[in-house]
Amino acid sequence: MNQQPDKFIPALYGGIIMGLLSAIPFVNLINCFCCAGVILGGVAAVYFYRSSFTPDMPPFTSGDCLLVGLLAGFIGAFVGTALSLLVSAILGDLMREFAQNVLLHSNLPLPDDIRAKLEEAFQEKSKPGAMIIVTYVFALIIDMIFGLIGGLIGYGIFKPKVDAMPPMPKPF
Amino acid sequence: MNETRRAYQILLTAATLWCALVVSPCVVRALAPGAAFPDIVYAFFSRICHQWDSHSLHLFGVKFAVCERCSAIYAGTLAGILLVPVVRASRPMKERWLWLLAVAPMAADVLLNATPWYATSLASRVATGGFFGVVAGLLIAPTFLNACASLLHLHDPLQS
Repeated sequence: MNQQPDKFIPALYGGIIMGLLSAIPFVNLINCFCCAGVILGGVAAVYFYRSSFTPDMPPFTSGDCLLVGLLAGFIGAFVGTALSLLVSAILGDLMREFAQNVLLHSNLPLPDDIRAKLEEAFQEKSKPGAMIIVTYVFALIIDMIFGLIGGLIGYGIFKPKVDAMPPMPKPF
Repeated sequence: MNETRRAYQILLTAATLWCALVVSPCVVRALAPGAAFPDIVYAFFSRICHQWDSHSLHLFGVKFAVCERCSAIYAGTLAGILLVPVVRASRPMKERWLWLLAVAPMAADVLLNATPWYATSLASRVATGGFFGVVAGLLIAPTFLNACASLLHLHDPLQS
């Protein structure tokens, strides 16, 4: 039997999806839904990983998917942070003004605390270097955790048909 | 089997710590009002939650680090992980359908909120988030244990 395919390329694709979903303005709101964008990137990485298998290769395992999701999270944090900086450098003011006009000057019945939070966000200035590092570290932790979860969910969705429930620890 | 038990303990500890982190700003702010720790925790969770005050649970007058729905998801996941050794369920359907079933009430709650006929409430956010969390915990924990066994033995015991 041939060896299993490389994990890096599928993780790279998943990481790029993760980064795009985390960096594109408005699209990144998907992550407010319990980090759905990051989880989706982990699932996508497993999908690409499965697609790179040929029939003569041994089937992938849940351990492989865990590693692919984790790696996708690692890459996604880097891609997401870099793209966020790029997007805010290019479109920062444009997007801010657009969102400000749409949300604050509309007749939407926003609660006071939400309106205050939005105004605070719109007044936020560009981040200094130290804050970028902190942001990246936070992104790294979160993307790796949720990427790993995405990898495990991906295994559940795309796993080979021959499978059984794993042995459970006995109740304490 | 020892590795499985150890992996389960690691998972349970991680989930408990995550939930404790969500509540920690309330406790820390009550004990040490000037501490910077709550701000760091809020900044950390701001990446994955809107943290709107009106949609958040409060303890000692201080809001949790995440909203009601996210809090319910995390607490539900912890409950699901705790239930795993007790519930030795045979899966009645494919896992992808179970995920869809778990996410459907929560997605309906979010999407219907955009219509003029329905508004989410504390109860609906906690109920749908908690349901999703419990199912997620029940589905993810066995796969995680399986993955750890697979990595530690460098082969998947279920595939051999």
